[in-house]
Amino acid sequence: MKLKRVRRYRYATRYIRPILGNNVVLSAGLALPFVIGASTSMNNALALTIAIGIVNIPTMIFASLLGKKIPQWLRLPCYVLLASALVVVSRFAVSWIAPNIFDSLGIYLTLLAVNTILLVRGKQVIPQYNFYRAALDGVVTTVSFGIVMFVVSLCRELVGNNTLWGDAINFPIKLPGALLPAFGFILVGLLAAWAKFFRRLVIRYNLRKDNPPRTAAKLPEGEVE
Amino acid sequence: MKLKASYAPHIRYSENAQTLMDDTVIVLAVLYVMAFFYYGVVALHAGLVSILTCYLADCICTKLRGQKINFRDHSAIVTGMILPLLMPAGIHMVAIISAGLFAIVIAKQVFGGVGQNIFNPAAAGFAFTALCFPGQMFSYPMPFDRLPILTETASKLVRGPAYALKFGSIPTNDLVDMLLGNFAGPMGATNILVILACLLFLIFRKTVRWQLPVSFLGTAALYAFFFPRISLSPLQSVAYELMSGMVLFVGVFVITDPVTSPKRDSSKLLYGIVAGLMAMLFRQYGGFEDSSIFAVLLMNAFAPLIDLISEYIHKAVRKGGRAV
Amino acid sequence: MISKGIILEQYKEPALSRDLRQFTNAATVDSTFNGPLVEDVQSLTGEDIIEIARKAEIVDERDGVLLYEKLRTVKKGSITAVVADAIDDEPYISSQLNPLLQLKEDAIGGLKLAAKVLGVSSTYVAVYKNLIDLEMKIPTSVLNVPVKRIRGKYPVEFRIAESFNKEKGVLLIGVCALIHLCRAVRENRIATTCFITVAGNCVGNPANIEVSIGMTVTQILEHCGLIDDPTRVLVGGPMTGIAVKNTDQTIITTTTRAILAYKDDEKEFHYSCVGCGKCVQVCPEMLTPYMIYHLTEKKQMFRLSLYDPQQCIGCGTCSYVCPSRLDVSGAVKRAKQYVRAERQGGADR
Repeated sequence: MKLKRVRRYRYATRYIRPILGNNVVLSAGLALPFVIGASTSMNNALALTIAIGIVNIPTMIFASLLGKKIPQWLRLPCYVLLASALVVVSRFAVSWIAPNIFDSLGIYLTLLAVNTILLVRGKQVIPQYNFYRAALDGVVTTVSFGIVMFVVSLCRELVGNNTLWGDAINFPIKLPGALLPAFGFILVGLLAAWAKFFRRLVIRYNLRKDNPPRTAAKLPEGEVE
Repeated sequence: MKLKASYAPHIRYSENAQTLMDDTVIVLAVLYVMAFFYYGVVALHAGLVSILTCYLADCICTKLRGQKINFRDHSAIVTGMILPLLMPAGIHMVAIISAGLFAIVIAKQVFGGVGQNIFNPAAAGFAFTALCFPGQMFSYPMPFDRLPILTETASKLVRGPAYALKFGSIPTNDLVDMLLGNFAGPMGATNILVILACLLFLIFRKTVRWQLPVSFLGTAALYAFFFPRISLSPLQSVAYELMSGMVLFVGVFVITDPVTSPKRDSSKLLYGIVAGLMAMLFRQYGGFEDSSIFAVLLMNAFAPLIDLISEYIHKAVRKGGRAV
Repeated sequence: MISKGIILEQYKEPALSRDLRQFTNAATVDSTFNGPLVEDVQSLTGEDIIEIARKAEIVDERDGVLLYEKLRTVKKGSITAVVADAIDDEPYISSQLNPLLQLKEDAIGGLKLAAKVLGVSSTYVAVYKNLIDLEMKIPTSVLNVPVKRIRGKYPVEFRIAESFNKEKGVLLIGVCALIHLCRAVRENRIATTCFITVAGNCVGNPANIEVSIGMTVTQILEHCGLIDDPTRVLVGGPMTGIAVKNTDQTIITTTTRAILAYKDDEKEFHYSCVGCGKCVQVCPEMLTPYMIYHLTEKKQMFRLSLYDPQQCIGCGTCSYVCPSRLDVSGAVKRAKQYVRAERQGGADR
């Protein structure tokens, strides 16, 4: 492929690449327990997405502002402290979604305090960003997490429970085994494979555009190849 | 002369991959005849649906993976035939189709197709469906009940003798009846005598090595002998344990899958012994009345490890043999 | 000890019971080496016999080693018996058994000369036991030399030492080399011919022939007569032979044992490995061809050293039993070369 095209693409999408090009969950494998274990209904998905937004964005802003000043060994515990405080805040924010949301979420809401999106990206990437870039990064990772979460929980709720947002729907197949975590693992694996396939498709399309297949030269008459 | 080049050796054994699977298909067809005798056309209908699902899913997934479809590959047909024989007769089609799809697409094709799967596809399909519909998979109709094919009727469903064993009571079936298959149980797993005859056929045709089913069933029998769950004589306990549920069927058809078991004979002995122990423990302490299939899945995960350990042992034996 | 290997159908008739034919060209018919003819064979010493073997350029047809080197490099006292090797464990081939039975005096004469060189007194003739479809009876002794039948499944050639466990050590010499030795001692003849079997379902007259070294495959096939157009011509046995594409440019060497011409119309199917494990069950060296094949196909060569591919003897049994008709023995050969090159520290493969 032409290097110019690659460079232009990389420059143009440098902020929003974690959504689809390099999805945080499917390509980097961060924040997997939530996508696998807690994605059994759309309510859960919405609640967790909002919660992870509330937890991640302020922590990333904090990391970009003060990250460099804290010594290396103290950085992650500080982030986790701040994230724990924010988890308490998020509990109030999500309680309007459904009355018994905390029963179905269980421990996953508390687990947000140590979610790996924060730990991995906060350690390696965020301290070099400035304030606006870090906030944008928090928003973008939340959106990418949310997309995967919604797709997975849509599948699992429809097939497993025959409900959508809690209301029953007339779906012909009902497989309660789709609510098991094992099926979540399988679905995430299949989605990761599909994302990789899609990316390769895009690359191959661009490659073909730059290198069209050459036609064979015509052989003189009477000669057999 | 137009000659073609080929690799040595230039003669080949007459058995090929098709005949390997065809032996198992023949033997399972005999079991379908017995199921038809007891349960009517429902058995054949279930078998047909399952075979079609598995074969089509196999072909479509092979095409999706970019490989050439091999129309003579009958391993999907074997999986399709094993699955309904583990389920009660008259179970609705969703269970059979979902079991077949899960078995082929997720337990076999995702890992790489024929010969590359780690887990037994029939065992995985049955496990998935057992977790989806736990109540319906273990309630069996009585034999000689002629069930209609596509309509839902309320027929009398009972629990098999394994259910009675789980709670420590003695099953109330006559021994001769159990040998002939005239009791409530999975569609293909009740015909004890026929399954034993199939085992002898498969061993003599060298489709399965005798080390696997004999060690599995022998360990299960020894466990039932020494730790009986019911308060009868140990031999009767062995008889009831082996004939109820699906232990015999699993030992003959599910665990002997050559792809997922270790390759050397000594490893197969060890594998069979541990799997037999696990199967009996799962039956006694597990959630369902007969969870021996989950023991097979567990041991499938350990088969490559057993292979690796036996490689180290054989390497030492070879070195020692040369030194001597 | 349960023996490993497979039982093969030996289609040795009718070539085995026919007489030995000749097909030599004029340049090799009466070639002798310089030197006086020996009058008294009994007065020759061991060194004389080795010198005659060197001048006659005799080659042992099973392993391609020059006979005089083989006789000279035997340590004194390490062997107690000399065995004439008439084992033909591959199907169709009887290129050692037939000359033994047709040219008895030459073969036994050569055996006695070899025994004299090595200073041993017990001599045997080794013949394979599992020949099922014979029309003639293998005698129990050939000119007072006992015939020992070797039992076992294919491949049996390298397990002969187990059958002779009464002796301290044996030396195997091919029957054709012994015939050439006897002729060299008697008539000063250089070994310019070799004994081969021509067989297969396209050959009109399957027989054993003594041909001059250097003839092309086309000449020999025309001499024997082809009743049909073959699709495969093999030089060597069906298990370890090489398929020939151009018969005009393939010539006979001293280690050729057979020329086979087949016609078969088997359709080619490309299966993949089913994972049945039959190759592991039949390997006579107790290797794991299944894993070696997979590692070689996936190019993960760094894990190969655990599976010892350099022990492979190249019998081809693993490919024979593979139900998917894969080329397992070829993959093991490539792995063998890789491991050997790595052990010698060579960078080129």
